[in-house]
Order: sequence, then structure tokens, then C-alpha cells
Amino acid sequence: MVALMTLTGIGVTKGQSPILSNIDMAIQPGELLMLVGPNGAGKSTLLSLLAGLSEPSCGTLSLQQRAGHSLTRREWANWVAFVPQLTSMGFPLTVEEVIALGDMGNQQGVVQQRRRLRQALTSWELDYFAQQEVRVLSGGEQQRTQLARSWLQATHNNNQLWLLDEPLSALDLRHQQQCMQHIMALKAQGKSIVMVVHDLNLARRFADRVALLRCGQLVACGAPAEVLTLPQVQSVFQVDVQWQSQWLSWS
Amino acid sequence: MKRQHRLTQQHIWLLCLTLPWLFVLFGLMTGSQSLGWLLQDPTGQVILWQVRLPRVVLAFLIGAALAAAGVLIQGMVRNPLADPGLIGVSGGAAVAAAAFVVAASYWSLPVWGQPVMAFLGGMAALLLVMRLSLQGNSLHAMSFLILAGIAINVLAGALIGLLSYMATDSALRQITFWSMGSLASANWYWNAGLAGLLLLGAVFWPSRLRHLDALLVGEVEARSMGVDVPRLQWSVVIWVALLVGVAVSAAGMIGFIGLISPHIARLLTGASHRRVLPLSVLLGGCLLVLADMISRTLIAPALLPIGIVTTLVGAPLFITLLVREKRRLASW
Repeated sequence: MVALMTLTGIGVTKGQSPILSNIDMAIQPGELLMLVGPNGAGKSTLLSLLAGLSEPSCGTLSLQQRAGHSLTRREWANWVAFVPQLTSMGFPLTVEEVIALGDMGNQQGVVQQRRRLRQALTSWELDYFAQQEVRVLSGGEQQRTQLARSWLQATHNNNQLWLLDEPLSALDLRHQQQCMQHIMALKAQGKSIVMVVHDLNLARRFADRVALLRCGQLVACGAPAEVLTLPQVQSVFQVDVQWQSQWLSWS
Repeated sequence: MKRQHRLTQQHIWLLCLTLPWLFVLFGLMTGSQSLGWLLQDPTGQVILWQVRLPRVVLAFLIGAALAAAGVLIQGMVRNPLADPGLIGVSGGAAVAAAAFVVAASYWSLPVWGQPVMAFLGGMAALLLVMRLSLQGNSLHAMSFLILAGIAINVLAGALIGLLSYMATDSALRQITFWSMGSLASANWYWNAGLAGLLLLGAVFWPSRLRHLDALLVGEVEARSMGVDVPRLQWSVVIWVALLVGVAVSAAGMIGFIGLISPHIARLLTGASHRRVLPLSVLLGGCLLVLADMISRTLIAPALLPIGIVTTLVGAPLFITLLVREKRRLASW
């Protein structure tokens, strides 16, 4: 199978300090890859590289067998959708207006766009808030608004890759489940998903592959059962963990 | 739910078609002489059509241009408290234009050089402000934006003071008028230039307004949705410098219109630029016509510089906005 995205010898340095070094990995079509690792391991930096939002200091990145730096912003956006970590907004845009932006690059009729917007509002349970200003909503509701916006971009036909930076961090149990259902539905359509998570049990349960990062290095990348072993988790996260029935737990 | 009764796009178009005529008519009717006398008397006719009408039209166009500049700059820096005057763009434009006027009193220079200089001065100030503020996290940037604006305005004030010592009498009069804002130099050349610029903007901007909306969500988000952010920022910089440059050349420093009009527009219609930009332009025009009416009647037959009127109303309003913004941030 031809990889959707390939990273070869990728390194990122900010000033003198290396943020990422020597990352080799490939993202396959239709896979769910989860990035895990301690704070400051470089997960978000890696995700923003995959989104084409920053340039690597060394190494090469190719998307659909084209060099990353040769693609225009529009081309990136047509292939890759991205939800960064939640930031606050100072302007009174409504939920509906923000979500509709997800279809911005989409050349389609008004009727079609309205239909897709309705669909996004319904499937993320945001109908009730549609006319509300995003900035007055709770953290979880704001998170869902951004997820729905990006989902609209990711569900478009051409889009192949959905990147999510801690999408579940502000969500309650019900909406965590809902978000994972949306992710699995997109995966079923053959799209790839790369997401940063902190819940290792979630990674064990859902991920096809897990990439474990520490201090900018890719420690391991592979099937969850092979990567998230007790000794590996203990050494990377510096915490005493053990198995409780089938779940990892700290004491 | 809040905000159900917003103005829709249709309402805004309807207002655009009606309000300007109404305000221009009000403007024509206001002044030290009554409209009835002006229409009957031959001298009155001259005053009406060759003095009052161009002045009222210029007021509308300058208000519109400053409001448009305000919307664009607030969208770019994602800060509803930015204003071309506050962050030093008007100051930069005024210094450059004043330097031109002083130079023109010694050497013969082409007339169009003045708005060109104002454009360049405004752009230089804007680029400096951006360099100082558009880095790091947004809160950092916000305080830097205002501080950079203060620095540039203080410098502009000092430079204009310096220039006024080198100026001839007529140049000095013009510089003084400028620093207070005045519509006395109204003529159809300025009006045609400003109207042309606004029309060009009306062609250039509509397809890019959603990009500005995306930028409000966040720079990273906007880029991930396919917006070429640096290019958008350059468009904003050039257009703000153009609008402010021409407005300042024509009428000097008129503060707060670029701050107040977008603010009122957002209260009426939300934050989407497709509604905020046309509504702000409309409000800015109407507000400046109103300010001009006050400036012509308050101490009639003498004229109060219009910049004093807008600042007297605008500065307290700005303080109110600051207090509200502070409460909003504190309530988080």
C-alpha cells in the first residue's frame, strides 16, 4: 500500500534546543494513529508538521507523494483537516458561523452547504447553540464547535487526513463517545486519523497504531499492545503503572 | 437564546440604499444659514452646491474609509480595540503628509505626492506596529499593540511639532488643521479619489471576508482551513494604509470613527465580516456626517475642528469599552 504521508529524518529546532529529532514514520490510508507521550515530548509540534503549518528544520515530508513544501495552503487544506488545542476567541462569531467556515474551500452550491452545515450541527449536538456566540459557551461546547468545523472539512470527499490535538480533553463522557464514533466513521470511509491523546487505555482500545514520543524522539511506533507495555510506559512517563484486569492504571 | 434579533444581510443592504441619502440631506440642511435662504439666494446656491455639498460628501466618504480601515485592522490583529488612530497609522500618515507640505512650500512638488506620502507614512507605522506586536501569544501581542501605538503617536506628535517650526505660514495653518482634523479642504477631487478607492475595495474585499472570519477563529485554524495568512495580512496592511493615507491627506487626524463604527456594527449584527464591513462603512459615513453637523453648529458661525468632536465623543466611549472588555476578561 502506498503511504498517505511519509516523514523521513524529520527534525525541528527552536533556537538552540531540538523539539523533534530524527523522526521516520509513514501514515497509511485508513488508519487511526494515536500520538502519546509526556508533556513537552513534541506531540503538538509533530501534529502541526503533519498539518503543513510549520516547516521541519531538516528531513523531508511528502503528502500523496508530493513534497510538503511544494504544496499551497489551499492544497494542504483540501487534503488535511486539523483541530488544534482550544484557544479563546475575542469576537462574537456564532457557533453556526464558525462551523460553516469548515466548508470554506468547498466549491459547491448554497443548498448543499446548508445541508452539510445542518448535518454538522446535528451530529455534534450543537443545534440548540447554533445562534449562540462561541465565546460565551463552556469549554466543552467550544471544543465541540471547533471539532464540528474541522469535521466538515474532514468529511469532504477530497480530504484524506484528520489531525486532532487532544480532542477529548474538554469533553464529557457522552461527547467523548460521540467524538470517537465520528472518528471511527471517518476511518471506515478510508480516511486516516492522527490524534494526540493522554488516555493510554483509549489508545489501547481504539488505535491501529500508537506512536510513543519522549523528548522529541520517537521511542516506539506500532500496534498498541507492542508499544504500550508496562516497562515502556513506566520508563517514558516516569510513573509506576500496573495492569488492573485489562486496563493500565497508576497507583 | 441571546441575539436572535440581529440585522441580516438584507437589512444591511436596505440601510445602505437609504441611510446615506438621508444623512447627506440632513448635512445639507444643517449650517449657519438655513436651507430655504440658500435655495433662493444666488450666493446661497453657490454655498450650497460648492461648499456644503462637497463637504458633507467628504465627511461621509472619510467616515466610511476610516471605518473600513478599522474593521480590517481589528480583524487582522484579532483585537476589537484596535483603531488606525490608536495604533499610530494615522499619526504616521500625518507626519509624512506634513513633511510633504513643508517641503512643498520650499520646492515645487506635484500635488499627488501628498496622499502618496501619507500612504507610505501610514504603511511604515503599521509595519512597525505589526513587527512589535504580531509575535508570541495573543495577550502579549495585545498589550504590545497598544504600547507600540502610543510610542508612534508620541513620536508623530513630536515630529509634527518639529515640522511646524520649519513651516511657512500657510503650511503651518494646514498642519494645524490636520492635527485637529478638518473638512475645510473639501473638494470634488478628494471625493472622487476616496469614492474610487472605496469602490475598488468593494470589488477586492467581498471574496476575502470569509478569510478574515477564519482569522478571528485563530491564525492556526485559518491556515489549516486553507487561508494564506501572510498574504491576507499584506492585503490588510496595504488597504489600511491606502484608506487612512487618503483620508488623512484630505482631512487630517480624525480619531475613533474606526473604533466606534465596527463596535456598533458588531452589536447590531454579530462578528461575521460579510455583515460587519458594509454596516461599519455605512455607520462610519453617517457618524462623521453627524459629527460634521455638530462641528458646524455648536459654535456657529465659527467651525469647530471635526477631530475635536469625534475625540470628545469617542474617547469616553473607548474608556467604556475598555472597562467592559476588562470585565469580560475577568469573568472568565
